[in-house]
Amino acid sequence: MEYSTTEFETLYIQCFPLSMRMAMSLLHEEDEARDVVQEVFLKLWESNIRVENPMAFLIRAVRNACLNRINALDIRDKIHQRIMLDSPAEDFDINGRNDEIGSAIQKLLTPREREVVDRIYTEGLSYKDAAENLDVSVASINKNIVSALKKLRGHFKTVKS
Amino acid sequence: MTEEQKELLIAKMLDTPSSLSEEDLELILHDEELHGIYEVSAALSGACIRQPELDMRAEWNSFRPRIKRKPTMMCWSMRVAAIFIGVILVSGIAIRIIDNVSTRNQTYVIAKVEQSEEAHDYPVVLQNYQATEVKEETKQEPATVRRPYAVTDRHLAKAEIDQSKTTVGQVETDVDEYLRIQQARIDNDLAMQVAESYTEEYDDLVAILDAAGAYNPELDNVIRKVTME
Repeated sequence: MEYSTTEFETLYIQCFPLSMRMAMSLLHEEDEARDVVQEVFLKLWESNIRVENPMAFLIRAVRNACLNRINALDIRDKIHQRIMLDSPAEDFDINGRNDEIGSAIQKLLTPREREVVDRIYTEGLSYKDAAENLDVSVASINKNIVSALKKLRGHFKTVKS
Repeated sequence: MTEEQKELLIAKMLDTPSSLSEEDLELILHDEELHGIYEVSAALSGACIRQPELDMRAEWNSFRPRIKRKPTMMCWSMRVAAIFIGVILVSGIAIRIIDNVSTRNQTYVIAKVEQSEEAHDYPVVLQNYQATEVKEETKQEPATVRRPYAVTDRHLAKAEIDQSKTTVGQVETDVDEYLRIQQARIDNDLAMQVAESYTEEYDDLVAILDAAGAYNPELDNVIRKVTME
């Protein structure tokens, strides 16, 4: 049994934001993320199948589509987009991981490190712009970033083991 | 690799990745610490990235044109049937139009010479009857439409044909055609008369046999065969 256009519109409006969040977390590019999510919705429409749990289905389908795109990139493109090099495990939960990272940032990093992480990762500034924004040197920015990343790595390494 | 070298490489990796050489990439891939730091950096990037503000109405409107329902088999069969019916309908109309046009072009008005007791009929076959008819209407009977055109002899008929602006060759052909038809009719009449005489002869024979009490259906067949021969 297939969706009517009205039903599909409701589904799209309901599930698109979370699907988009998932795609953005993996691909880090808005246009590419939107393209992947739309492709997944389009496939669902064309399949003429009514899925039992559409939200879970779409999140998983978007995740797989994003990972397929990531696998098609070479290492330089991955590093350029700050995309993970290693393929995640099958049961990889990106929302859970994001929550863990947010919690670790608050718990482990100093206020300065949090500021630097915010400028570099959330606002997407370059080292130079972040240094100007925070009125510090570029070397200080790098020092804080390296320190923050080492703390987080140590934390997740411990958690994993 | 010293800590300073690692920090420089991390700076290049995060701030200016396009400046990384192949050797740098190899180091990042194979040095456990660098690799681990890069993976944490990628995860941090995914977790901290600013999510776009979505206008769901606009998102749906941009996606809406991409969805089209594929036609089902039922739709296809209905389309084929509609095309088939359409072709037949158009063909029928075209044939009807062609038929009408050709019939109109071949309209002949066959007029007969007045029926005299012994005179032969001199029918005249006319094309473009309309021109002659207008002329006739002005002379005698203005109210008559498509009435038969009559003459008393062949010469007069031909003269009238000339007046009707019909080509002479065509009229002669038409006259010959008409004469052939008439000949066929005469032949047919003769055949009918012969058949009638045979029938009368047969009836007479049956009456004689019946009167004599010798009528026999089998014999009747023989008689029928003989008389028909």
